[in-house]
Amino acid sequence: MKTTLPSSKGFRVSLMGLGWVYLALIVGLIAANVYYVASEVPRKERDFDLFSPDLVRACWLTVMTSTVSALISTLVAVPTAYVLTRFSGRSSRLLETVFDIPILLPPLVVGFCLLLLFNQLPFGGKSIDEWLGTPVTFSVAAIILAQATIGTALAIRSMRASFDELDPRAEQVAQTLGCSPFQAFQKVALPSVKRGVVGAASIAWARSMGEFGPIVVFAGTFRGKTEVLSTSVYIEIGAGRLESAAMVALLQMTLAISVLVVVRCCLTGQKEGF
Amino acid sequence: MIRVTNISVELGTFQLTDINLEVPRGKCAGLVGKTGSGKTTLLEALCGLREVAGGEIELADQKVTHLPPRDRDIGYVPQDSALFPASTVRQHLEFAPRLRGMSATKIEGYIGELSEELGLKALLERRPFGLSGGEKKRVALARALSNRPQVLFLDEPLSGLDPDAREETLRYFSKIFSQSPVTTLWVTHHLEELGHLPDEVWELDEGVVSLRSS
Repeated sequence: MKTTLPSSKGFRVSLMGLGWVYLALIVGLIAANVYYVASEVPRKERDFDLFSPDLVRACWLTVMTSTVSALISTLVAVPTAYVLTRFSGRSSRLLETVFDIPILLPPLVVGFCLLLLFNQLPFGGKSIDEWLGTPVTFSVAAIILAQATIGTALAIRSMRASFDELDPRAEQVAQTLGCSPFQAFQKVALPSVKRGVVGAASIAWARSMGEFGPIVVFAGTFRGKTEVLSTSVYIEIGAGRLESAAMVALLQMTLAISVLVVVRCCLTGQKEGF
Repeated sequence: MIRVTNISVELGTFQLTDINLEVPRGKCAGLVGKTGSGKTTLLEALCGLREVAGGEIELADQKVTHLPPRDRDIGYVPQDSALFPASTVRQHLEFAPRLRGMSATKIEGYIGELSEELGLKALLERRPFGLSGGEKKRVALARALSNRPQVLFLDEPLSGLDPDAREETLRYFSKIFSQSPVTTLWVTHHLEELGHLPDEVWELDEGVVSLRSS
């Protein structure tokens, strides 16, 4: 149940202080983009095709890779975060730090390291790409891997917070009722953090959707092959087609906000049941 | 029957050493002690939730010292009830019977019986979030009993309740024990909380357990 503090409207408004400035900045970002699209795109309509095969493919690839990487991130993050939360010790703290590395590193560096790992680091005289036969580097798989590398670290953080809030005693009781530790995780802990799982997946999805640095380095920006919406914006700006860049950015914003709203609605809907 | 012989439990710098305790079959024993005396630690060790450093634990004629909690044939009611946040009251009561592979018809009958005895019939579709303190305690007891345990461990099951709720909950507990006596160890730091239930009272003081009255 949500509690409301009995405070004056003035108090709340003034306490938000810098929050209002930040809110204005966010609204400004969206407004600038909408304004530019509304004023410039109609004038250069003939130069821009929203349904060009390249843009449609970039759009599809963005949604597909973000969804796959978010699924991978969630599948990895849920059990990992559970272990980190429930079996805390020195090794667990060390692992937490290691899992945070992809968030702490500049995204471009993550992409560069992935490139070196798959393309340069020799394992028995050959790189991973050579071992695999079909190179991961500069492929769609590279986009997913680049997105999942950072998305998983964020999802682990998010899931850790969810499991931290959950009293481990319920799982202990489940064990006295006949559960193995795995069954206690599956039957008691997991259903209790459903909202956390949806939250972690949406964080990973949103991050993957906007990922740019590691994709540029590890997957490249090959039009029609590894181009996603974030790299489309980059390509269009580089080519001086600002109206196209603004249009693609608006498309990406719409997609991201729609998903965020749907997820929020799902979470609010589930809240009553918990 | 509960028989604890010379068990030692270590928890950081806190230690319980050479603990001995015996509760005859079908009897209810109280274990009293001050806050921080290690009552909960001892109970967790008996439930198999905490490693013991030495000694032996026997529950219902079975040596369980190194058995996992699921193989000890016990029911456990923790201090905070620890209900499953996402489950309805019905799902709490179905949990253990389902794990044991009981048929759906039997489960339904069993739940009806148990919820009737503990006054939970109207609450079966509710989740822990909407239950009062007393109701939560009753659900926790019903869940523990749904496992048809040989031994029941209760950790301050009436704590945090107002006097009326405490009396009402104690009435339900008394009813259950009089109908089907199960060997019980009831941990509390208020002796009066136990009412007339216990057949004997043990005391845990400075790491030593002694029989206070029987």
